[in-house]
Amino acid sequence: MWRYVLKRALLAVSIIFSISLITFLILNVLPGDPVAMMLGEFADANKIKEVRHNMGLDLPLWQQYLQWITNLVKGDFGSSYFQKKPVLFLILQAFQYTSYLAAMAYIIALIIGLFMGIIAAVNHGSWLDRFLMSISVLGISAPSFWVAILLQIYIGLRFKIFPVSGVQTSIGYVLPAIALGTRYAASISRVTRASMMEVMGQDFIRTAYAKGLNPFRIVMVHIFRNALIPVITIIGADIGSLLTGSMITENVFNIPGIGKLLIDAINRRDIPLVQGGVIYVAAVCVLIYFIVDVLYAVVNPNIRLGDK
Amino acid sequence: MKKSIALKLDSFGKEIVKVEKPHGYYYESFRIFRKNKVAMISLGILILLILLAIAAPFITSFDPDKQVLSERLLSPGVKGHLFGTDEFGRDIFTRCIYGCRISLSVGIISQLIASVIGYLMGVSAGYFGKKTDDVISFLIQVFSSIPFLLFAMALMYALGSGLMNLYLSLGLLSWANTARLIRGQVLTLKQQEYIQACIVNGGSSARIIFKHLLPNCIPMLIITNTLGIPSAILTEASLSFLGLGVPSPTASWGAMISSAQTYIRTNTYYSLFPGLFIIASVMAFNMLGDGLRDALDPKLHK
Amino acid sequence: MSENTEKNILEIRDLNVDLFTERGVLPVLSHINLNLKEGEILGVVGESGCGKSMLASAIMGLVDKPGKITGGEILFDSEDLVSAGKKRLQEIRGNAISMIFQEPMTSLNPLMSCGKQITEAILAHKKISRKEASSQALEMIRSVGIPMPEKIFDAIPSRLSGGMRQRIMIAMALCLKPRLLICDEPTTALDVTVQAQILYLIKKLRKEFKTTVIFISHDMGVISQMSDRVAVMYAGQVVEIADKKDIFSMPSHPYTVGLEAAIPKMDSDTDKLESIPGSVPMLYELPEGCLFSTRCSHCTDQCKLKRPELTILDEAYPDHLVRCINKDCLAVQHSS
Repeated sequence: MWRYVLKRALLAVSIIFSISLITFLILNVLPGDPVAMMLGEFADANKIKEVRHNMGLDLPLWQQYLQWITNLVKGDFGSSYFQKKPVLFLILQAFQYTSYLAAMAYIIALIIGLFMGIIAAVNHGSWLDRFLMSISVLGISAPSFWVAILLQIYIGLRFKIFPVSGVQTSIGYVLPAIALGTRYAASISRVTRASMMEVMGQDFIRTAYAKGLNPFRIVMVHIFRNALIPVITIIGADIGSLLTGSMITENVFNIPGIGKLLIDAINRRDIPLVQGGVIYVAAVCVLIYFIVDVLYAVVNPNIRLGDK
Repeated sequence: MKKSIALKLDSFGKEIVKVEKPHGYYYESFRIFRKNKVAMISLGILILLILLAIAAPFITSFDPDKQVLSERLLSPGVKGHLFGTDEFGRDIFTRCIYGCRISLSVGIISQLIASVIGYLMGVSAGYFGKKTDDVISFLIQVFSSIPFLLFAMALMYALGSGLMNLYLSLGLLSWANTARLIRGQVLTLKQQEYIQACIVNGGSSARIIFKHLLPNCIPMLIITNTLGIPSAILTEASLSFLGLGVPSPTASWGAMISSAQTYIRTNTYYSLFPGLFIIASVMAFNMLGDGLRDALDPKLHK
Repeated sequence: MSENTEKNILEIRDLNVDLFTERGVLPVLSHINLNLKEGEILGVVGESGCGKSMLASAIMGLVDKPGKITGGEILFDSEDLVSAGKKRLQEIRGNAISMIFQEPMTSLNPLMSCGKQITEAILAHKKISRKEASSQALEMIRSVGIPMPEKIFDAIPSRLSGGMRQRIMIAMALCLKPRLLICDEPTTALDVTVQAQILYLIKKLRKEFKTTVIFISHDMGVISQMSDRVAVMYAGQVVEIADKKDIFSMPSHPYTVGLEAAIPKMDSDTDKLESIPGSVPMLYELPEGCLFSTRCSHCTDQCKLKRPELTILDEAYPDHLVRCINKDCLAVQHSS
């Protein structure tokens, strides 16, 4: 088990380094002078030169990268060009909102998705199954920002309980979390259903029936637990898009999370902040993939044994 | 002398390809596909959307970008505006169908790019093996760990907004899944006798990769391509929503919803219609992809 | 039907099971009549697809879509299982009637420890504490001859070999001392050496537990070792049923004759392996007349007209029933 964890951890670290390189290349090698972009079209040449020097941009590219990555490892993300504050501080501050929103959205999605999936699978072929699966197709296809705006119009503005902007109180998270969670609830319900159906067809379920177990117990203990394994893989894959998806929802509901921070940074061409934000979010995603991988091995002992 | 043997075996190899994928493979797939009602409806919706995109100027008499400030924010149905008008007095229906051009082309072209990269990467990893496989497999891992939208944002930021850049950046970011599947497929194909025969007889790698492996990978490429399109469309909409997609005033569904945001209190329909278009196209591609996957699965033939 | 004074534990009367598919309604089992005496082992033999497993499912009350019992009765202790409610069937399953399946590799829940899977079966039918149930389960694991039962109790199935898993299945099936045990090809997936051990175990335990057994197999050799009586099935029908010695000494249905000829014999000189020409007809293209007529070497025009009934062959053997109209040609066969 520990060997497996170590192997995965090494892979995760090397992936994070590769992503940092890609991020750096995207933001520094591609055409266009970032500093000129950053300072706008009216900046004079001397000013550009000075900023370039301050940011170490006159060094050869590989030195720039090395410097950036060593600083990153030390925890120094540089400082925001506009806000004049350390990038890491800004990111951590914003990330609280983002992670809170993402977690809440995913919990809602898990509860609704698993529930829908189980109900659909148990009643497969019935009208209820078809109804639930049609809803889930809609849910998968609707962009979260659009759902967000519909929620604002038809619930937020109509009932006045849930604010359409800001998160001064926790209740402000409700609509954004639903908007963000819809898509995941839909995809979880589909995966759960498919996975349950597959398990239902297996021999050991017949054994469970042959033992004379109560059908509810068969569904929950034998089918559901085995069906959960593919669902956990989906959870891993979802996290990345969940964090970035949350960035868009934040913009709709005006939540000061990392999405808002990054979009503002992009609009102001604040390179250190963009660079730091991107690598931070990417690293968090990879870390979560790693944790999910390990969790997967814990839930399914057959993986560790190399049985499958 | 040696060459003639190789040629013989090549044609022998081809013969076996025919046996592997019997003459009516695509015909059989089509037969299954045609029976799938959901997939056929989706195909119908997609053809309709594509026709709307192509024939947009003939369907509507309005100019998508022309501002008529006297007719701002009209409700649906008023003064011949089917879906109403936006804050610059532009016809929303017109902008929606012009938006088809952006979304559909971004979806299809970016995924074609991804398929080409994905095939080349996957086939090289599977066919050459060893170090090449290690490197490409690692790249696949890296690119599947990258948060899609985030890096699409970063790329669009670096490249600047524009249609070409959308095709490129979404294509460059979504090849990993295709590559992984193709690699697996090639690894199995490589075990089969006729490919082994070609390799042993010194058939050139390029010939094997494109003549023998490619035809066997086409069904999988069709499926991954189709199923990649919806997420590309959604990402394009998100990027446009954030102002990182096509530059204004070009009509795009995501950008329309973004501007509609300001008017949620006064003009509730404005945001509704472009969203419905997104749902319709994404849903249709999803269902079409599912239908194709079922139809192209050789296990279900017969 | 049977005039024996011994009590019948199971009586199947005119059982029909149909599959409702796109190709139409297919008869998987038609007009099955079987009696089972308390304490005997009935062997059911036939090629794959002849409905043996469906028969087991029907007795267990586990016929699932697209299959459906469309007629007949299954009387277990004079109680009809076909018309019994779901709750009642659930009480009987695993308790009074239990079953061992063909694939030990996939018939156990891969995520649950073996001990827990047995405990669960006990708890489903007995109102005792979890701890008591566990100790009974452990006792059961010991009695099926598993070394280090305490260790195996906590192991997940993937750690065990096929033979071990089948022992666990047997422990699970017998833990509540069922009156009827259905073994559906319990050794087909196992190595020959392990197969012998498992067969021996089933024989030994059923004596200990006084369990009646239905033993399903496609292997005439195994059937001859295990059964007191044998029913031969073909395309969803019982074509011959008799005591073991009668079935082997005077097989009367051409199909049974073919099956027995197909057993490879050590002592014969020929290198040739016997086989029955052709294959089992698909359920959607069953012949009009006798179901075996398409492969039968004695087939006459009469055979192609009407399906024969299961009848007594010879008044001297009232328990030997055959579904064939050509008694004359079989008599010839016997004498030759």
